[in-house]
Amino acid sequence: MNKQKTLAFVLRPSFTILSFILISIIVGSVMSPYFLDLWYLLNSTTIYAELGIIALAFTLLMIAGEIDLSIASTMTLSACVISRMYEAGLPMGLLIPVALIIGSFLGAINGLIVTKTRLPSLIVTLGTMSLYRGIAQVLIGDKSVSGFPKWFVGIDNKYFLKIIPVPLLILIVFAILFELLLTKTFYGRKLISVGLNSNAATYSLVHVDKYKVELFVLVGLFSAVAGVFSMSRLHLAKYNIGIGGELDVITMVLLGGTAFEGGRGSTLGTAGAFFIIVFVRTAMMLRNMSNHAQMAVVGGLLIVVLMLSSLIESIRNKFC
Amino acid sequence: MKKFLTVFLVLLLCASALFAAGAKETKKEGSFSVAYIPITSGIPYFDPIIEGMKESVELNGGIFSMIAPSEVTPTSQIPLIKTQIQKKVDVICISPNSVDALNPTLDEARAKGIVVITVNDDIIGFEDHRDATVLSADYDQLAIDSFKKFSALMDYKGDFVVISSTTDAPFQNNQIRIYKEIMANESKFKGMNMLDILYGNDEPLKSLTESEAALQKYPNLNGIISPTTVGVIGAAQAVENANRQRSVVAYGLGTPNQSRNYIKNGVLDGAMLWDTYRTGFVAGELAYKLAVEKIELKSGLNIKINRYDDLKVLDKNIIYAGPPLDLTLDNIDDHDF
Repeated sequence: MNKQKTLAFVLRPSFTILSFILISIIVGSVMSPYFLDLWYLLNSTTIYAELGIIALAFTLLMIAGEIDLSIASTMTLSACVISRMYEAGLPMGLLIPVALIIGSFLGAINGLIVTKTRLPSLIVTLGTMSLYRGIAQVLIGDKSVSGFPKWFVGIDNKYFLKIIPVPLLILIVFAILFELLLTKTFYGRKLISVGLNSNAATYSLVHVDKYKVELFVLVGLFSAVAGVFSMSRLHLAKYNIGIGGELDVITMVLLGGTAFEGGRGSTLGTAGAFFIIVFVRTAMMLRNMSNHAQMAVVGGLLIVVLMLSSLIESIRNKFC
Repeated sequence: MKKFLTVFLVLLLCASALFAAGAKETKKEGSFSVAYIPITSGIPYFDPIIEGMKESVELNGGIFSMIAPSEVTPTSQIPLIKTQIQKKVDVICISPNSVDALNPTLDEARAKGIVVITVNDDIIGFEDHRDATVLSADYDQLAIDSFKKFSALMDYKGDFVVISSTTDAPFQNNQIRIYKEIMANESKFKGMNMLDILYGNDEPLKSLTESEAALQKYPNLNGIISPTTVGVIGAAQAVENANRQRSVVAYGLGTPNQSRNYIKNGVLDGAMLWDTYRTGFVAGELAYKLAVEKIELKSGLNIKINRYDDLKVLDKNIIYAGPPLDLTLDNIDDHDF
């Protein structure tokens, strides 16, 4: 009995992620003497934290069986709109909530188009991905907007307890909150049922469309948060910030064990995957390995982890 | 359970052993280290810069390393700069992808005592975020020289188009701005008529189709000028395909290796650029002088450079590595990059 319990624990998806975090730390410290430096590792997360934060909301959306490719564009557009307003003289303190509203609104557009037209979200958001970034470019052109107030810039250099960068703290807090939402609440259960079988969910009186729109809004909101963070970190807003970020986000979500077809997933897994990617990339960069090599390794890692998880899943079904 | 753990541990050991081979890179005492971050990997243009810099750094007893991002986005170099900070290099040489997005990270490096030199491109308007810049040539002078030569080839009259890279490329936009200035201010160039600026995004195919479209659209076109190698090659191909090399002058900034065939068969009347090997070499020398000799740069200072003529430090610590390189049928085979 006890033995079976340990086996069940070892075979849990979270254990796989945890092992890979550990392996990446060990491999990293073997690869470079500069790697194992807690302050540096935590500081390195700030470069990717914006995408990590989006990935959390994205996880919930993917669990419900939908996908959003417009996240990086939403992030940039929210940032560009408020920096344009800032240029016009509005105070930054007021503009931060405005950015969040804009992001939610852009998410709502995605959600409404997807649920009303029944078009696949992949196609709809592929469209809005270009649309939103296009609007951002029309809005502020090729130049970048900067000159933000001192209190606003440099969020990546603000620390909680003098060691955890604020963006990372927010990522961890929301990873835990969303995990609780998923596993401990009625809302979370319904969300999973939407992803597992939206027809069945509809018949059991779950407002599937309402759920999906809400999730798109959530993803838009978090993209806007990421947009504000990127402005603070880079001291500027520009239409081409974050290009290609959607693929990094999807990689994090899938690596974290969320099923592409929906119905299964974990935000703690996504957060774990975030750390794996940061550690692997950081270690490889310390060895001056090219970005192409990094992408190949991250891609290979994704496939290995997914294969391993499905293998473990089948073992689990057999023995536990 | 035991079995599982054993397998797990074995896997772990294998992984560490795999990476342990060739690990352990530590800084040698008494030497200095320079890291170069080009715009992106896989552009042959940067190879001579890398080669030249490596050679001069190593001649001075330093350690050289190079790492490049895979994509040209404003932020793709940030993680690489942060990595070099962690590795405590003495000098970061960088060809920046953005004039402003890197600045907070460059400041972080300089706060840790690292010398930052921009190479080949500068962060114009934000010069106080780096220590010095080594530009391959006086790019304004290059624009003037290349446009005047182009105009002379066109007999100072006629319609022409520009094939540029992207709409926001600062280098190309500056070149085009100077073309316009010359036409507006010098009476000799009044007959030159710029019809259009087309953007090939520095992609060979797009540059070719944009050039072909221009030839279609303007049947009386007299010239195509391009401030980028990919563009000038696209223009040359289009002119050759349309068999209009007699009536259309194709000219611009091009690397010797890519423009060689077109210069030899007469489609291009020549090309202009600079000596990129020299750029890298000068940057490496400067890195040594700033990090080890600790010289103070100021406007008007003369710096002795191994192998080449002395160079003068200009306002805002700008250093031009050499004069523009005028490539013609006669000297094209002397250069290989």
